[in-house]
Amino acid sequence: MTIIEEILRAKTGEAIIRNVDLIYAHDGTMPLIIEAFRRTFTRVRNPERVFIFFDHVYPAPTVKVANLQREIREFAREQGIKIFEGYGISHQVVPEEGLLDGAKIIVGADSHTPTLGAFGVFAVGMGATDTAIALGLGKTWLKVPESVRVNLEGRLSKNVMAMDLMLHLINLLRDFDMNYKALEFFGNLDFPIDEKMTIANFSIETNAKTALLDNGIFEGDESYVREITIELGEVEPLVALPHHPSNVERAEGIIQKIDQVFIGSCTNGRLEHFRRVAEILEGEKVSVRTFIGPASRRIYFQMIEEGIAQILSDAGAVILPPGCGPCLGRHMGVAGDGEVILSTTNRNFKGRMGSPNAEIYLASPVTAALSAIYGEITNPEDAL
Amino acid sequence: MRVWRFGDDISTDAITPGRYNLTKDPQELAKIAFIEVRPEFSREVKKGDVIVGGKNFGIGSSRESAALALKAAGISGIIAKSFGRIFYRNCINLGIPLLIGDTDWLNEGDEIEVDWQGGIVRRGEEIKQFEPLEEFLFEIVKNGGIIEYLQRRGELCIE
Repeated sequence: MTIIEEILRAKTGEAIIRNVDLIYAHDGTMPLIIEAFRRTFTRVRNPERVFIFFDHVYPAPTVKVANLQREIREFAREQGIKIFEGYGISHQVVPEEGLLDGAKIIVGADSHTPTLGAFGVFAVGMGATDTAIALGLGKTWLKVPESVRVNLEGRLSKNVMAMDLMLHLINLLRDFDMNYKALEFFGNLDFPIDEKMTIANFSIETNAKTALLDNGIFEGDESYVREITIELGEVEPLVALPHHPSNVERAEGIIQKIDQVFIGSCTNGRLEHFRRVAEILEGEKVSVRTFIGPASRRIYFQMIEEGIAQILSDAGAVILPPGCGPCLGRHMGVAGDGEVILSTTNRNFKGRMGSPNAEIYLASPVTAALSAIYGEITNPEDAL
Repeated sequence: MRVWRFGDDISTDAITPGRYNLTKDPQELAKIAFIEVRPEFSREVKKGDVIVGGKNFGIGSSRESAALALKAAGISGIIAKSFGRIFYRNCINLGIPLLIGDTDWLNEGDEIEVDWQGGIVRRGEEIKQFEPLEEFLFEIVKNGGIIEYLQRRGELCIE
């Protein structure tokens, strides 16, 4: 059995209907959800197991967005659903605020809901109508995906992070059709939870339906459609070039000036990431615009307490309010025409962060911090 | 039906870019469909036209506005080698039929006929079999989407 087969109590390929233990959405997806919901239902089934997060375009930068957010508040009030405003990114706040509460099957109205797979649960992203159905019925239809097993062995080198591991993996899977399949990680998973979430989060960019990290409970056997073993010590600092997350090259040998650096997001916006960045930026100055995006306010407070916020600010970086920040090109550092952005986020499609003429490179927080100092993509192996 | 031909990895960012995706109104969404990739699409698309893609059509964010925009634009369905999984579900839930298979032989501007339920695509004398949606899912599409399906049947049911 795969971990997913065990959680869903069904075999790969089966079409099933299951109760949903936890449903969440955010300011970007709620408006369409409300619309779809009102067409069929009047009451949300289990409102105490539904949560809304304002993280994508928050605080509201325009009147249109402010009005949409007001509509969401009205709906939440009407249905008895809790909204988390200013707490940070949904996928981060859910585990931090103890909202998982034993949930095993989770539906989120965001493609990176599988970030929660870091906790060994089945978490999938769905669109507005699907989420509305789950809200009204308390259940959803699923086709049990096939799983690809990834065995991790050894340890990452000093300046290499989970982000580099995932860039390494997405490159390995480039020609393999991951659609309708899940990634299950086994082996040496001795990473901080902050980095486990990076692994689950970035898995989505391989086109996988979801990802799970073995939390020691599951066996896993021959039910996998493919098995990959990665020797962690062989992973080098990597960079995804424009315009696809799988367009991966080694950081060594890239000569590219940059205009802006963003370190944060649900992919790499946690304490472990900022601690590494602070180690690098302490006593240094960034030479290009650098924005820091803590994934949650708890992380933000911790950064202040540990002196990280001071170090980053002294270096010239600007710390943004907890949330998605510039990741999706709506606010907080939109990319202009012809600009080159280095980001620790998960997507670099054309136009993702603003101008379709901008170029986005993806890398780890360590690589990004160094690059911010030198104003160009910098290989940690050279500079550290 | 006229074919609108796209390549691989067409993301939901390409279908409805985040910058323009500030509305719920289907007609407004139809106007911005492919606005940066194929700006003429929204002007020239006719009801019943078919979208043909390569691998990973609809990858990226979960935004349902991508599927909604295409539905509002009046397309009759989408044929691709593979689909982003959330987009795939969004299309089914909105009543857009999908076919999966090798699309290399289909070109921009081709006139084709499609049997969405059976998965058969015809271009002139050429007929090819594609993988159609399985029965349970086609049932949802046939009803016009999952909301309409639920309104008629009252609950989710896999026969």
